[in-house]
Amino acid sequence: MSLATILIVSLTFGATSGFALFAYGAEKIISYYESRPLVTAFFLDDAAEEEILELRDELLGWSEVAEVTYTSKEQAFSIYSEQFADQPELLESIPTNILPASLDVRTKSLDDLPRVAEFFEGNKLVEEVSFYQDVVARFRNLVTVARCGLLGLTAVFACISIVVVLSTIGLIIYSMEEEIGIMALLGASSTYIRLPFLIQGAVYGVVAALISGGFLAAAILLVLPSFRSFFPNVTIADPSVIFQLSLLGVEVVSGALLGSFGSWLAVNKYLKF
Amino acid sequence: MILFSEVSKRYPDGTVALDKVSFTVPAGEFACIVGPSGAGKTTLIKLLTREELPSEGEVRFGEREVASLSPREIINLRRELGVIYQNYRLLPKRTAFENVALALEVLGRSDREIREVVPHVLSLVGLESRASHFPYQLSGGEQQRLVIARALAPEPKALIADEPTGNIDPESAWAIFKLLEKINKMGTTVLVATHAAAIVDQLNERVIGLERGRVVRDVKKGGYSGKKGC
Repeated sequence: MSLATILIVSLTFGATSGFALFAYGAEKIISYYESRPLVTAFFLDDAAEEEILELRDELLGWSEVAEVTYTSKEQAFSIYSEQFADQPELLESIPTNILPASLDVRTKSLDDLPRVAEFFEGNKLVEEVSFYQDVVARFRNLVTVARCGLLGLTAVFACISIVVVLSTIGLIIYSMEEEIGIMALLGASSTYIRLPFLIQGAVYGVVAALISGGFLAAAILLVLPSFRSFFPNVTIADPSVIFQLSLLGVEVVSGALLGSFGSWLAVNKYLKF
Repeated sequence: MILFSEVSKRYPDGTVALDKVSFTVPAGEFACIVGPSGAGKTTLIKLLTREELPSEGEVRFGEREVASLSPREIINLRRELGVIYQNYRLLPKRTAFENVALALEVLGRSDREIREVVPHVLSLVGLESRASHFPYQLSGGEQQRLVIARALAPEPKALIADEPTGNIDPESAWAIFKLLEKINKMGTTVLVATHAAAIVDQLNERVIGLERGRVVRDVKKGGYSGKKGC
């Protein structure tokens, strides 16, 4: 029964670890997209470089613009060649001036992007404008919903864990009723009788948290690579040792408190001393 | 040391277990409470150990009125009373040594003190060679002696025994009472509730007779049925 209790409590911390890992990855992805040129304007083939550079200079004067980068047609082809260096047949089939020149604009805030996009869309030199604002905003909403869901799940598991610890300790108290009665008649204090049960509950929580720590390590090895494959351009390093140890520390302390609380409820409910 | 003053105990179903019981047991005395089954002997013990509360009257141990003790004071009371039960109430999964040691552990005594006191007490009751035995490995008489050892280990002010020989043979029962006498001669107040008539007759100690919850006899030196002593 103790093993079942520990496993159920470890679900709580497994959910917490999953939440932490998800939040870690999501933050990396959001940070990546927020740091990339978020509005890209592609220019027509006959747009003169001087005119494009004038647009660049105008944008650099805007307070909401953090960075503007000009990529010429030759530079664009050079980047393309590097990306597909292992596929020379792709390079042979296209002319070197096929790719358009572009301006990449990064703003200080996502909210400033529409104004920059509007600036380009009204311009006769621009063939196409693309920007990630919608993508990032949608991803943020998704992350927020997922976070709330995981937090809710953690809260539910925590409540279930408390009830399970309460029941387990309650059964133990019941099975030790005679022994407890004898100790009371011998003059044992309330603390002497109750403390072992509180410690036992705390131990359940701590062991569960340590098991969850093992789950986290396994998740980093097994799940994170799959997570990365969805976002190939984003660098999501393994969480640092300090992050993992800090999370484990928080979970161990939380486990001790959660287990103790369940035991405390059981002791108050079932012990008459 | 022990005072019962006009103590009555009535249960919700109307049963009157004790009816205006009054007596005093001074420190250092050996007293037997005698009477048939249902006379109220066990109820009297339970009132003294605060396992139950009186309906009327006053029960005192030393200066303290037992019924008005706080939870902390009840713990202290039970530490000063060594109680011996008819059904032993030994812990089956602990050895004789460990059962006695428990009485000291709950008091917070050190391991060193426990290692010194427990063998001494086991020797006093004649169980020094049985220290590593479990209760199921001991005879009825040996288990009762073990209970006495456990009650004695914390050096209580009084030993209270509720039918200590109820489940054992006459020879062992006599040995138990002689042991209690020996403890009493060492200075501990002893109060024994019993219906072992033959043994009480031989002991010739103070006898308080109970019948249907009332004190019908209280003599300093007497037998079970009042035919000895005054």
